[in-house]
Amino acid sequence: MGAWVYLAMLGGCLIATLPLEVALRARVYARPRRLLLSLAPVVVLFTGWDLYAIAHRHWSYDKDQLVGVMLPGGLPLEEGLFFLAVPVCSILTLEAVRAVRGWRVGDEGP
Amino acid sequence: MSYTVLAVAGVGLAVLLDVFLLRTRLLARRVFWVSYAILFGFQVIVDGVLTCRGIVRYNPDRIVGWQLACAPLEDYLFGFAMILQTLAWWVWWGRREAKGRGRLAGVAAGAVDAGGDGDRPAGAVDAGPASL
Repeated sequence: MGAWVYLAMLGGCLIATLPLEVALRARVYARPRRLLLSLAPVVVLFTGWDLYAIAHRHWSYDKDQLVGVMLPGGLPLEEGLFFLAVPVCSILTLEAVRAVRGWRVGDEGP
Repeated sequence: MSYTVLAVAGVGLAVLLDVFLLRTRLLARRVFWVSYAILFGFQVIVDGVLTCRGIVRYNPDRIVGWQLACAPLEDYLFGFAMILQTLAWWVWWGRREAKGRGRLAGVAAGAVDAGGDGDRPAGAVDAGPASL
């Protein structure tokens, strides 16, 4: 049970923000190219940071509370997914706030 | 380098991207700060679970020691840097696509004009703010 807490929170973040895509027409998943291009530099930079921090013992993980799948460099699967899930949830939040309040984001075009 | 130094540098890089490199200027927009406030609330919960339960453990020699809901101050800087940078890239790519479509719409409207149907102004095609 405890091994699934981290993964469950990431899933919860994606599930909780999913209605924003549909009900508020956030249209984040509907623009997959823009989404992937936005995620790519963030995933590379922050995964690199995580690997550096693991290698230099800035932080460590309790393996008993992870599902146990390790990515190269000693990165737990959950951490890899964290750098995908959190940015997606962040963008959905931004688009939801824009949809509700009508505030300009800066990409409105000419 | 300590987590503290890297966290401050991460925030610095994100601010640099937003203000000077990508010029998205999210830091000057209400939409960013309201979104960040919402996300910060969720970060306190998620980070709190990760650190209070000991799923992630921090080396006390690499942080200053200030905490909120078990999580070190540095985690909140890390989160701020990641959120700002993600949203800056999102807006930047959206702006590029909007410019590209603006040009395409202009070309398309020009072609339509040449065809004798000039009642549609250039750029009017699907140019709403949420249309990307």
